[in-house]
Amino acid sequence: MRKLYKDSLLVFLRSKNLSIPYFALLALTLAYFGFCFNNYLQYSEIFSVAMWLVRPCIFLIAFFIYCSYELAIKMYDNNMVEYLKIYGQGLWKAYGAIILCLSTIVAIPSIMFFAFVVFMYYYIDVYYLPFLIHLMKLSVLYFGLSFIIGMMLGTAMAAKLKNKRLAVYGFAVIFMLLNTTFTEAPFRIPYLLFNSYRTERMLYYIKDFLTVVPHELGNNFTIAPIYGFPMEPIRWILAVFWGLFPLTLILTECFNRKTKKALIAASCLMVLLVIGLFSVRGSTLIMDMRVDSYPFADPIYYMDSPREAYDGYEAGFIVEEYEMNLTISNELHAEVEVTIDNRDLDNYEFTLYHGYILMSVGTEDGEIPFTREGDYISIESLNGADRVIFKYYGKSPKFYANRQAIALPAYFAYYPKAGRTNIWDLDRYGYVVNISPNESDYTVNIRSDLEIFCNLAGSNNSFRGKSNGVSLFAGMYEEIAENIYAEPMRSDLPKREYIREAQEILIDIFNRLERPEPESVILFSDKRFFQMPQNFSLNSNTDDTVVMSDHITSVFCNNGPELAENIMESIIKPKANIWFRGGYLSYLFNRQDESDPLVQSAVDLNLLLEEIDEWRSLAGKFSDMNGEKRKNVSEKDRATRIADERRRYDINQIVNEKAAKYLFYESPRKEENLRIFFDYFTSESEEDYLGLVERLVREELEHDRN
Amino acid sequence: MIVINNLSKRFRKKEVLHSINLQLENRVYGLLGANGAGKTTLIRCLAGLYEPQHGEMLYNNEPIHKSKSFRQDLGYLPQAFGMFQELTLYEMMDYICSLKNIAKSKCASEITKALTSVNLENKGRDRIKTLSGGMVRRAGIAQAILGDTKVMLLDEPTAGLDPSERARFKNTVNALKKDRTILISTHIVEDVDACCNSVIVIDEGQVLFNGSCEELRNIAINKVYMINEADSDSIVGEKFILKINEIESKIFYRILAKEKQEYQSEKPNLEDGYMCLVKGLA
Repeated sequence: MRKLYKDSLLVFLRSKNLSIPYFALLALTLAYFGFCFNNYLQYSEIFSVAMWLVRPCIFLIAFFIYCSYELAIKMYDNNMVEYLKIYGQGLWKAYGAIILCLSTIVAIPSIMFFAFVVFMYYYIDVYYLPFLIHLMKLSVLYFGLSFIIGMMLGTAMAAKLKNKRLAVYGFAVIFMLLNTTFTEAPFRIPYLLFNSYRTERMLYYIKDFLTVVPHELGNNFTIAPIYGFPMEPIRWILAVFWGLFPLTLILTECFNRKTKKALIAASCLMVLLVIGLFSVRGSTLIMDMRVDSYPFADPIYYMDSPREAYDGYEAGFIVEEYEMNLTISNELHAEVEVTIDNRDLDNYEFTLYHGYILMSVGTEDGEIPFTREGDYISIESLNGADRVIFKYYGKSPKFYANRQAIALPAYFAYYPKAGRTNIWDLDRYGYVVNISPNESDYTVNIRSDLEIFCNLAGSNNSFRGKSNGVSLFAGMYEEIAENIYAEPMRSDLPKREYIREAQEILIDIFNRLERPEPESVILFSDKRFFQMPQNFSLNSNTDDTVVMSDHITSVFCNNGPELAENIMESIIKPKANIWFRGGYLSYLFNRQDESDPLVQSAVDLNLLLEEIDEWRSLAGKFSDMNGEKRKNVSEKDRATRIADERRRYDINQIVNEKAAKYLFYESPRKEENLRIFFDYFTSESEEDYLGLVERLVREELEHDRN
Repeated sequence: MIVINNLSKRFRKKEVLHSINLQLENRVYGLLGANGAGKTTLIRCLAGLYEPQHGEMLYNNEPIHKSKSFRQDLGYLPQAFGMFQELTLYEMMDYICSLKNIAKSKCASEITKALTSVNLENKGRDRIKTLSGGMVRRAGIAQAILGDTKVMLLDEPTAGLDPSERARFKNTVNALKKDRTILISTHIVEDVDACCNSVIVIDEGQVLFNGSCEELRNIAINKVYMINEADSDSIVGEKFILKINEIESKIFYRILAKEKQEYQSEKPNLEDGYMCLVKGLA
């Protein structure tokens, strides 16, 4: 075999159409490493470098398809197959030698990539072992197995399609395109034609099955350091499958009919098995433009669902105790026992995110009937029991829980929460922060290969304590300082001094407002701090920073002032437009941009009042507009509606920015206005904030006239 | 010895070989037949490339598909033969030695022997792409005899060769035929005449003749006539014009006639015998 291998290698090296491009590729790879290294020197973002590194992966795979096909096809081009077949397993030996030779060809760039990532790891000087392991796995899976897939596909196409180069390169191009974001536009066509996402989902299902790269060419989403590159078990299974399946195709060419039949049967079984496993792949982090991708899945789901408003909903009971037994494998499998304080209700309502499939609800006496409607579970009677056991499994597109990473913040209903609460706020475009006003006793036991970090005390993935929610994080995640948990590979790591500074700023702010500090702010610097993945704010405006009874989750913590402002934002209720609230906070924290023309010019109060009226009139036109009605608007009305909406959007920003600027910066009564609005934002008042703005502005106008 | 009993091969509905019965001993057989007669199919069945629907093929009383010795003893030159263009002839022979599981220690001597047999001993260092078509054919024979093969199946070995290469090929076969069973498929009768001891004529998947060259020639005794063009209408019974010659401005026909004619018959050659068979004039 060594001789055959050596000769195959000689054939490769002496073929100008193979060796010249190959050595050019090696040279280009080295140059590309230089580019990536330079990128790190400029920006010091290791994940950005890693993303650059994996981007050309599909080109390398395509190159290896070309190399392997052109090498293997030489046997057919030179009419060798017929006589090779008659020597005992001669063709298989020849293929074996070619595969071995190609493995060597592939191994060189693989080793180069591996060496480069290891070099980068030591160069960045972080010494976080899970990251090194992640990089090594990345190299094996995407710079090793993926290249082998290219090699095997090329060889298999030579065996099966023989000299039909057009078909071979056609398939190769399709394969390449399926590993890029090129498919976004064509895959959206069925939706545009039939107004249904079903076909798009099916097309993406097929695309995912063929995806062999970690980050598609053209994908501009960043990689979350807690999660890293996708390397869930299904990715490994797919990689092995795409390596073995072509091998079975090659073998069918090499053996006689009986063995051929057995091989076909084996490959069919393999296909069925992998499709089966692929269908139950569970929680994965999808980041592209498809409808199921995490930035869009929930917004689209809740936009299409009828609007529900459960603000102020009273459950009628409190969950005193949670006993949670979670298994986090490819997705979340949970058995959650809740103890409630009120046995006498006719109906019990719970909220559990709709992505979790409820298998049963029961008490100690057995299963009890329930109804599930989206995010809500209704139980008619507990038959006097005070303990309810929920068994469910499933996933959320955003709040993942799998073998690679876990990000389950306490405010997300991944376990049953008392009563009906909204999950998504359409108006503010973000997740509703669902925190219980009451603390419960939690016992949480988790079966997972990952080391999980939780706001409760405990070790070995078992936690216990009292809180108003349980947050779970795992992956490339660490306790980087006492009670501060973060993704060590991020450059904007939280620090204890930032948190202390934020607390001091907040105390000053409350002194300025002449208001007592809320409970959540008192000693918050002693709470456990969990840094959330940076890209979590991609699809949500509402949960950047959430303060819970014993811990804080925050996406950003670059400095004290920013954190203080984020915490204040989480304290005040979302009762005003985002521009107005943003303005309020920036003036409250003296963060206004003095060079901004708006800040420099004086607000014309009469014009402001006129614009408020105009905005109200435009807003009235769309108050009952929902997704369904939007679809049914006639062509004639569409242009008018679009123009009105554009004007409303423009005027909305102008009105809110001007109002905030005047009331909290320009007005002689600005301190009082800040207090009035603080009270308004923290009260249960349902008054329209623009009404309050209007009232205050008119009062000032009156005052000026007098 | 190879024995073929009742061999049939069908491709979908088309029966290409129909109940073939043959016995092949240590000699050179010419397998003659028109294009599409089933020659290549028969050779491929013997080589194990096709699985026949019916019948059996035995090598030394052992079914061919189970016989390890047949695999070791078999040398095969397909109709379309080629080698890695990037390798030298010697490297390619070495490559085939590995495929044939020839012991490493014997490879060098086997290659030298094989290349010498086909007069290519001086071309070992040349890349395959620099060899002529005839040389590649001879290299094909060399690869077939590597490992001292006892059975050689040569499918259309002379197709596309110029006369001098064909002559060289015939010499090569004559040099190799000792203690070997060689089956040469061809539709060029002269080649068979030059180097085969026996002839098998196959037509539409059936064996029409199996015997010596002399026997095939004898089939045409008293059936070959050289007549003037003007006399061609006087031929009695079925006839077939083999050749039209111009001698001293006169046109002569070489004719095969089923019945005895009043003209002087010619001495038949192998082609005459073959044509008698395939044209149903025997």
